[in-house]
Amino acid sequence: MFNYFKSEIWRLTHKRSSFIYYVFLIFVYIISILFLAIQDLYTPNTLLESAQSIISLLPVFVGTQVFLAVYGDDLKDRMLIKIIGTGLHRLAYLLVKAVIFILYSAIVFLILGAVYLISFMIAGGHLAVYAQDIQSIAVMGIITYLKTLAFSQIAAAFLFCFQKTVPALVLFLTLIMGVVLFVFNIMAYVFPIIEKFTNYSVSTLSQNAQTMWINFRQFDTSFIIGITIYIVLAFASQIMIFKNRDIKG
Amino acid sequence: MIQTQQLTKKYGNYFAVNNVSMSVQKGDIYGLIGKNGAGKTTIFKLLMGLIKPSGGSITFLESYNLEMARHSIGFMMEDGFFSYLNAHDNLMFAAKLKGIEDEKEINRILQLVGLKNSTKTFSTFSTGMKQRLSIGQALLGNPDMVILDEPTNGLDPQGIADFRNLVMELNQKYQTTFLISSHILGELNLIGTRFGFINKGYLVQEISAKELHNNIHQGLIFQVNKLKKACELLENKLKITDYRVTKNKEIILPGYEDRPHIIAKCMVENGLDLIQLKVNQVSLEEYFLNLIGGNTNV
Repeated sequence: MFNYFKSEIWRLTHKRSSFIYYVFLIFVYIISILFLAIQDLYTPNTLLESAQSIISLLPVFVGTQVFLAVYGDDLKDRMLIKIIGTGLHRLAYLLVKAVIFILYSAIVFLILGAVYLISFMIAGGHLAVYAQDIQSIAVMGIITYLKTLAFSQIAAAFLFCFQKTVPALVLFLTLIMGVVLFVFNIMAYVFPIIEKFTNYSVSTLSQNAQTMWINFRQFDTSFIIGITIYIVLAFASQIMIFKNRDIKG
Repeated sequence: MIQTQQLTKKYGNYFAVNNVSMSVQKGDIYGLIGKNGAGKTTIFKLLMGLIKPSGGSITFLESYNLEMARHSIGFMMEDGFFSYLNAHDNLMFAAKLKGIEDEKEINRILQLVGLKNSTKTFSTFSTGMKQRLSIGQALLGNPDMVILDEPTNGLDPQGIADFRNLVMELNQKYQTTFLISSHILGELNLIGTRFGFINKGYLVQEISAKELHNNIHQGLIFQVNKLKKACELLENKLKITDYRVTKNKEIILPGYEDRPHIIAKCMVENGLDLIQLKVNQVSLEEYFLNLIGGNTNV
């Protein structure tokens, strides 16, 4: 299992297209920050407001890329046969994938967050950066990161069920963009019982956690519990699905 | 090395593999021969744990711990590799997966399969290059046992000859055991020491190369200008009585295919003109088709 972990780290650090993509994202960040600076649009609230917008986009722009790199490549390039064929236990495969996703997305979130903050501090040097704002940005970042983890594990279960990347990616995107929640909310008008369940959806839980932080500066522990349950259940589903499934060529 | 006992894989009511009991011994070059859809790849997938058997058992290297045993097996199936990595990096990934950290081993394999100077990413590889890389990956770390599914697909004649020499060299030098499936039966016939013929999921016959040789070589055929005298010479001089004469006045000598010089010398020294002398043999394809009672592509 440790050999596979090492080989995965090695592979991901040799995927040049990922790095080009992240450099492009950083470039877009810096351009937008410079634009605000040139237009003299900075106000004391700019840091928090712009960070909120950018954090909300991270699951789509970063989560998707990390999901494809970690889970998608094996199927797209028909490597699953080779990896499992070396005698790697299927549980070890799933475990390494999950750990790699957790680490990889955390690193990318952190780097992009740091780049944004540093760029902002340089471009908007005349504005004070309050510790309170940075704390809020960090909390929102953590909430979004955990939300991305939960959705990735749900989509991964789907991926191992059908052993196809595209349907899993579509599911990941529809979950992350709130499309699934939107559909359930509409259905709740007809079947009110659905609302009881949507209150415990990942998106609702993360929304509540954000609201609670902004209004009361309190971290919602039920969010952590809820997300942990989602991740554990999704991972358990992956094990159940993948345990006896034929690996498609 | 590999033993299957009544190995079965069923999809609904369809048996892809049906009660296959096969045995691959150490040092064998085992050729698995069958038509498209006969069950060859399914057997390989079962051996490598990619699909779960519906029944029967597998033992590798005298071990029931298949996952551990698979670590020491080189395996090639399909030509999938990471499209954005080059040959070296793809091999490095596979090597790390096997716990091999030696850069020298990667270079040795690249040299072995003729991809030493390739810097292109896998997505731009030709079919032959993909196949070479797949073979190379299976040989990483000098495994005791190598399983190759259609390894010569897409290789040019030189590539096929190189592959054949490589297999024979590894087999002779390191006693590496090979389990190979191929459509090119002539190729398998040149290197195989043991064969398994599979049809519609059943293992129809398991046979050694020697037995196969005896089965497909059906004797020596010769024709001379004086048939009667030739028969007298066979009986009186060479003491051969188990010959037969065809309508075309050809003489068939079963079991004499490796001694044509004795017959030729005897006939010529006794003043007969030798019109023809040949070994009567059926091809491996014909043998296989006779065995399964079909005539479709192999």
